[in-house]
Amino acid sequence: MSQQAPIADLSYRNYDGPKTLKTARWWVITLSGLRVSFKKKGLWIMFGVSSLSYLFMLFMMFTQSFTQGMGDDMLGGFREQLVGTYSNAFWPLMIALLVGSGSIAADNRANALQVYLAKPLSKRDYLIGKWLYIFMIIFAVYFLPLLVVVLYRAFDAGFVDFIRSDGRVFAVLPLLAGLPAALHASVLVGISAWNKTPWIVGVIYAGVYFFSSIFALVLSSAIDSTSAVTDSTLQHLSIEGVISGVAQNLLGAAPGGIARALSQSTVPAATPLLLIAAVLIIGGILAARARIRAVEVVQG
Amino acid sequence: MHVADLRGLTVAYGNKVAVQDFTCSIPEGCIGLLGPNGAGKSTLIRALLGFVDPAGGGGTVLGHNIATHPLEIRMNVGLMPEMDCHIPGMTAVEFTAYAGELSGMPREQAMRRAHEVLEYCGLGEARYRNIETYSTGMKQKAKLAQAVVHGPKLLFLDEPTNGLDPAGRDEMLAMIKDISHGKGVNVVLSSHLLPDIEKTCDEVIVMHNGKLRAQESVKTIRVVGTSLYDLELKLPNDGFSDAITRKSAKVIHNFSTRYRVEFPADFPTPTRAVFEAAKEVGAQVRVLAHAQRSLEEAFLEAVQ
Amino acid sequence: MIFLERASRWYGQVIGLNDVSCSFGPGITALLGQNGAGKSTMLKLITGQLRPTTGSLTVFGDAPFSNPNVYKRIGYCPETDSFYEDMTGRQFVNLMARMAGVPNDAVDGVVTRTLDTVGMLDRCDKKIAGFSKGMRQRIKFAQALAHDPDILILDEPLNGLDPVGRRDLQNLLKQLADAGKTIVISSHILHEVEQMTRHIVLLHKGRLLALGDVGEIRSLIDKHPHRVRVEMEGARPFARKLMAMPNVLSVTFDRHNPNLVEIETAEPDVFYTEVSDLVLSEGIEFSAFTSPDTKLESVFGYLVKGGAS
Repeated sequence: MSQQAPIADLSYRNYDGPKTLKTARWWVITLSGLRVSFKKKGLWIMFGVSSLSYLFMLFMMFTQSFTQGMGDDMLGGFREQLVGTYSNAFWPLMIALLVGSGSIAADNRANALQVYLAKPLSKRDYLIGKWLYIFMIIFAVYFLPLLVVVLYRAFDAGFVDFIRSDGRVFAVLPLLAGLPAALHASVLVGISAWNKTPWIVGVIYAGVYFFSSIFALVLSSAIDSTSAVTDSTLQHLSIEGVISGVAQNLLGAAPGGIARALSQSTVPAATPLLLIAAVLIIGGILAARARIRAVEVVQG
Repeated sequence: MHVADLRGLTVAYGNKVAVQDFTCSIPEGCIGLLGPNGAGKSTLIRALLGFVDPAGGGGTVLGHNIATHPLEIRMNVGLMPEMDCHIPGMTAVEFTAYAGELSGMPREQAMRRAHEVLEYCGLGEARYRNIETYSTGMKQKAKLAQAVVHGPKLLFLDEPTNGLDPAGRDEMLAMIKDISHGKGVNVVLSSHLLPDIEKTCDEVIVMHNGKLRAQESVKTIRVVGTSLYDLELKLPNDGFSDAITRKSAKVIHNFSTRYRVEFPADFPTPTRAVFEAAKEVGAQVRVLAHAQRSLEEAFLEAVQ
Repeated sequence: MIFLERASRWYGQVIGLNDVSCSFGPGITALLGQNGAGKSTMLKLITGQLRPTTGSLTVFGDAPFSNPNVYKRIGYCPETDSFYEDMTGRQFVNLMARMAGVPNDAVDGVVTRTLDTVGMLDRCDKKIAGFSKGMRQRIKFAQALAHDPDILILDEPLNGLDPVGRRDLQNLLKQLADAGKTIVISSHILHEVEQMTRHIVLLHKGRLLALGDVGEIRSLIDKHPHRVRVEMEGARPFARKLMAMPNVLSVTFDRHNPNLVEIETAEPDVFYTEVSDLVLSEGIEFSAFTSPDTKLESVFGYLVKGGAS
């Protein structure tokens, strides 16, 4: 207050406060993506719905502890149950569509890239920022309920016993959440970058997703009926199948319970599934990269 | 001190040379960038923002090399693009603060500064609304706000009055003039509306076919011969041309009530001659001044 | 050619045009007004895209709303871009010309000629998607002109053009006006309007605020205080003489330029006559004698501000 003149000049003044060129410039974009997503009520509702199956699993484990071993045959072991619950990929997909469809498409419509790229950002920063917030949300959607279920089981079964029988679960938990998160984030930014309308991006990805599932089902049943091989790999040649199939490999268990009744009794081969996942992730990112051009910032 | 220095800058897209051997120093103040479509203005701005690899030559903006330090440049310059643009799903405050953060400001500073510049740009209470609901004029103001939020030393404005009605245009031009004079912000203004440039700029750079055609101060560009006068009558008058000719002046051109006349060199009393001529034919003189070349005339001369 | 008789149009509860009567004849008429003043509504009514809610509007004696006979005689250049982006410029103009009733055997020649007129002949065979704003504007203009309509309705026709293009198109419009076409131009760029025409229609908040010759309108506003700027050697002694005039309301000296004085007068007509007498009797020489109030811009400002209060 000591330097205050009697009358202050309130006309335009330029900013000369702190300003730094950070290394992690994409982090600002990620934070903003998270902030905008968290404002969507649908995200929280769908996260709740998506966690219901884990809640159901908790409930079953809770009742099982009273009826020692009675339902085990039908439900399978813990990892079988976990893989079964995990494979319900519908709601996480919907969340991915909700938060990710518009990631770049809405920016394209509003010409937001002209704002972004006129700032000290490279297109790599932009892409990382957009990808990461989708990844983080989907990661959390998978990781949080998984963690709760696994911790419950660990306390319920006794920690030492749990580590001995199902210890690998802890190790693969981040991978279980990370794979679908990376898949959704990559494919969505890829499609989103080439569109101007968020809902069309959603329809395209949902279409590809469900079509690939149907395709895998038709393919496997067509070949299954002609050969004697009962390998479940063919059934997993879809986006949904890749997520579930890789998880089965990680957990070393095929889904238990009802899924087992539908003959998915063997763990599919990992290599083709990982290959598909890698193609989708890299392809999505490259597609987005190809579309975003800094030079368009100034028209004409 | 120059805000930008370009030495023999050449930029090519494939075989097409957009900017050729461009040497120019952009001084402080408000500079108009003129040129017909395709003259290379956009490419020049792109180069100054550090987006292109020069095919030859190079330059500096605010002391940073355009080829090697694009991020440092963009941290200290602002761009108001020509097209409508904003970041979807945000209010003007969020948008502007976000733009500040992207430029490297801490979040709290960005938020404080966003309010300050939006208030300056005249968005008042509307700044809490989503930009998607804005009118053209308000979107233009929000675009200006995001371009100055981080306190740029150099500001590029691309057709800032596009789509504005006369009141909105005056408001925008007044802000540009204010920001670019004595506030530590230098402006490069690109516009097809030459009167806008006349009103705000101190100096103009004219480009044509990728080359520098002229760099001159607006004042000297406008000077034409001292014996030329522009005058205007209240109403059209058929006899005035003859009357003024009798006073030994020559009518250069005449549209409706406006005349440009030339008196002989060292003619002692042009004012008296004009008023006398008008009185003889019952006309009323409303304007009489030394002729000034409009920027439009000067520009058309330079590029044709 | 175009007659509006107490025409109004509203959209639901929003009023676009309120009780407007006016007419447009041959030559260039500028349609002025702020954003949202009702200019676009009026243009849409004239081009038959809308029907007046009350009142009537006729073009060549017919109501234009969904009336192909009227459409054929109107060329419309909209403000917004609405192209088939995949077409070339020539294909687009060709399609629009045929839709406007140019016979199939004549259309190729007509299109080529029109594209030449707007200066697009050398570049019209590329896809519109790759066109710059100026090129799009020229194609829009060509499309309005192709069927040789008697009436041209142009919404911001010079938008996006560079100064050279502006000059070319202005000259073209003047030629068309001289050839007897009725041209209505909606524009925000007042100094360009001033270069093309003296005839204006000014809308404000949906109502007709002023109509007619700029000069006449200006002399009507002469009732308002009017500013005059004088720059000369010895501005202060001259100002002392001005202060004696009863119609002078204020005299202001410039802070930086001692030779500059600004006078505000209540009766410009009287003031200018008295100044004229003073000049002739005293032998005064001005460096500059101007008024910021003679421009269309300030006329517009006065009218709109007055209309707003």
